[in-house]
Amino acid sequence: MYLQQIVNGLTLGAIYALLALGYSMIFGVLYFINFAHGDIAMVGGYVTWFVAASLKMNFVLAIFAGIIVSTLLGVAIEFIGYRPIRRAPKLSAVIVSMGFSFVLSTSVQLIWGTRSLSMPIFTNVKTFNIGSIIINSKQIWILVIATVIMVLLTLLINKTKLGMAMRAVALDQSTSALMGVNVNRTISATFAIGSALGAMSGIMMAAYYGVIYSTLGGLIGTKGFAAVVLGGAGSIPGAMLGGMLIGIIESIAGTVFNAQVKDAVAFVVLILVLLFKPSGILGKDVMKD
Amino acid sequence: MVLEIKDLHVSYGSIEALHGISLELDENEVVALVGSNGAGKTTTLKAISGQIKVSSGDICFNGRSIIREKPHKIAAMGIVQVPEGRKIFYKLSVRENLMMGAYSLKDKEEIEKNLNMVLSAFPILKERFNQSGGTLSGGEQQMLAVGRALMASPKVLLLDEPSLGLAPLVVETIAEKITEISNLGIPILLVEQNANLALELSSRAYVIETGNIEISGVSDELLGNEDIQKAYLGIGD
Repeated sequence: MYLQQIVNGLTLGAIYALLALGYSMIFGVLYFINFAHGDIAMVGGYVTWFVAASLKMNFVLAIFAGIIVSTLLGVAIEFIGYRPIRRAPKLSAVIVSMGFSFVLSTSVQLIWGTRSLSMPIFTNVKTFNIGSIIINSKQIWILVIATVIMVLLTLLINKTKLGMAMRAVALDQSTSALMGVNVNRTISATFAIGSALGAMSGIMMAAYYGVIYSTLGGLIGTKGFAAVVLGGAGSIPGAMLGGMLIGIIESIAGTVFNAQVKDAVAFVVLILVLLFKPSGILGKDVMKD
Repeated sequence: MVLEIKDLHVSYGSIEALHGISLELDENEVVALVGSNGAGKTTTLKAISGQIKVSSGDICFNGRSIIREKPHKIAAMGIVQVPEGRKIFYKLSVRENLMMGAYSLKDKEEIEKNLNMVLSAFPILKERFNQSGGTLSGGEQQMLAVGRALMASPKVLLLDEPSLGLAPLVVETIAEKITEISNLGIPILLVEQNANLALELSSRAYVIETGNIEISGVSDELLGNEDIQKAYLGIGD
């Protein structure tokens, strides 16, 4: 039974990890938690739903549409909301991000209503039995795609010139500029990549449960945030690990206690981490102001 | 003239830090800018590299004004700075720190050539190649900072307090390297609190005090003049 919950938890965890990566990358360069991130992910899910269910277009195309809209949204929010106040205390940026979070979720409610919508999926769901474990094709898709994305992201960050510039900017913006790095463009790229990962997470979440609703952003947003804190803010492997752990903990708690407890567990973990190891599992001491 | 500063004024809020300084750097020159803490040395460098707004006056690179350019554009022109305190990317490896130096270069062969040159000039960096920058000693970090700047194929090198916080023996090594770099034909603006060192390495020097150039001239003559030394350089008795 626990093995089954670990499989379910890994699926959920992969989704949280993708979201946590965006949070963590943005935290890495600007040192604040972008609370609009979950809602950017949610918008990606809605756009995918809209293109696939309303416009009845190809699901893969719909996924790309969702990713593109979220990416542009993330870059635009940084440009309009965070860039002008970059030198202000970080709390200002946090509050602005909460403002964007409300704007996005209410905008979605105005456009598509407050009811849950059913998310179409691109494939017939098949179920496989491996020993005592049941795994369905949706879970396999999610795990495979999430793994591929995480491997590609790791390569991008560690092996490419853009990735090196992103790490340099995260460490020291003014010295990076002295090296010829366009700091603003690198920060935009970070938001673009983070938001695209968020969109994947939002789309997967909606596809996994088969529904999408306007408060999804707030829900997965806080789970993703808990994953970042658990793994260690600013750490890429930490975000992956934190996401997976939150997913597994949630799934196991759902069976040990009951399904209602499930959503609260992430917050219990969040509180415990903040109390006993605020830097997280792989985090550095980044709380500099 | 490679670098020409004309009547430069810079303010931090309502406080003026530079009250109209002028300075010139020509091909094949090492020019020193000396002065005590808070005199305006680092402010001058920040103005050159575009990190701070200039209120009036001009800075020209090969005759072209650069005061409205962004820092990354100025760096890409070949005006390369070794910042005060070295500012190594401590979590990046030595190799990556050097590659950051070559960030503006497109030509792979040029980057490769620069890397070989830097590694033969600073063999210690070869030994530490895959270590993270933060694990290096102060002297090694200074060599990495200089090496990183050389990776950019600099047309002008701005050195900000290269001797700061280093042991005398390491300072000597750095001084030798500065002379070697100058011999490669790269003009150097050397900003130093250590006036003795700066005057020995440079051909001409400017003495800056509370935002004004108080005196300038041939370095050897400044070194030989006791009155100047007592008044401005804190050397002598």
